[in-house]
Amino acid sequence: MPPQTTLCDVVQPILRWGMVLSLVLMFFGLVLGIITGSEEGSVVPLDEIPSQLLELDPSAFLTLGIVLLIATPLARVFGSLCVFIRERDRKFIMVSFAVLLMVTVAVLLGAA
Amino acid sequence: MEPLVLMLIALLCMSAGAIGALMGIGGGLIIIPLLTLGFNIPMQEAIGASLIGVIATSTGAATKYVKQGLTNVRLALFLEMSTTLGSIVGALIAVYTNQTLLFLLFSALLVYAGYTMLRRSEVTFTPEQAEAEGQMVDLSCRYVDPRNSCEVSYGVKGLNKGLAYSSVAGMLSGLLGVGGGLVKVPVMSVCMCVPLKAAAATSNFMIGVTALTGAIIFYGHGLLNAYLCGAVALGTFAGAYIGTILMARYSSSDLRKWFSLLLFVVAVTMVMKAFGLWGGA
Repeated sequence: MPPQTTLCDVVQPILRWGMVLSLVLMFFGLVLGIITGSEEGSVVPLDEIPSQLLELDPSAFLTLGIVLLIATPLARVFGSLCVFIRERDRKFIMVSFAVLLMVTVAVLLGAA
Repeated sequence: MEPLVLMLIALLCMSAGAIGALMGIGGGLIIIPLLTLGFNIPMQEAIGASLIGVIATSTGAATKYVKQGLTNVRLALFLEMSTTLGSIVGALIAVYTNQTLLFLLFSALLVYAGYTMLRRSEVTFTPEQAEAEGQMVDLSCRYVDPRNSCEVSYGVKGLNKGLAYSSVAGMLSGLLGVGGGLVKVPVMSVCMCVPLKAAAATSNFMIGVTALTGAIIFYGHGLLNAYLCGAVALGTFAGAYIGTILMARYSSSDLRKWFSLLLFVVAVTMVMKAFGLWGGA
């Protein structure tokens, strides 16, 4: 049976921190939006997030939370990849790369 | 959107998160009709918010399942190769296929899967048996059932078959926008002999990656409604947490029966969708 502990010890904190950070940001954004009475709005493009955050734009907080949430599953694939590289588990290094490759292809095809 | 409406949406999305975490499905099946039929939200916005909700369900539940060992991370990565490939193929050929026929075929498949799960009880496949088979990768895993604190070790059977079937699962989700978890859980449970709780937790874990690509594309095109996504995510996070508690309460055989029931219910809604009687097609 392959060892599980290291893999779980890396993947679990990634998931937990991704969840906690995005939860806090989205909750703050929603509350701020309700207080300031601006409850409409699309997501903010990546490059505009920092400046909008400084202006206390609720959508920017929500967007940063959403971006972190989307990044979490991707980060855990990277995290697993790092564990497999350290354990020199060739087969699973290839498996992780294949998953990352498929995700990239899917995004590129979808964006086109 | 009114604050009250947002709160109501978050509250109702808790059910999607709880069922998703318990059964290993994404919850898009619940979120999309809820938003389109219940709140008159345009289809595109609803799909975007549902993708975010699915990622929240997956991440929220997985923080607990990974810790408990219920999630088989290696198995998840292994099958993700074929589900992602399948979903790409599905999305590419979606334009050329007859949706009505596909929905009908899909519901027939769900009924078959539900019937098989009801009729057959769980088959155990030990790590030793897996080793004796000389498989290409070792996916054996162990977890402690949170219900009775019993340790369960299992091997994974039929890797080639599993890869092939999960590419079909991925293709269907690319074609129809639904069905990833609904197909993956029976495939893992029936064909690969993975205990149901581990199959549900692993499927739930995988769904985060499946939804991720769609979410990135929607974000890139600015199609996500920030407030709606926030409300849906907060609701599904809370629901996923409840789902993990429920998982510890019930036995695998109970969950197996419920999963079959869920498959039958979804099969009926898919037939309705085929004839344009249900939102979300």
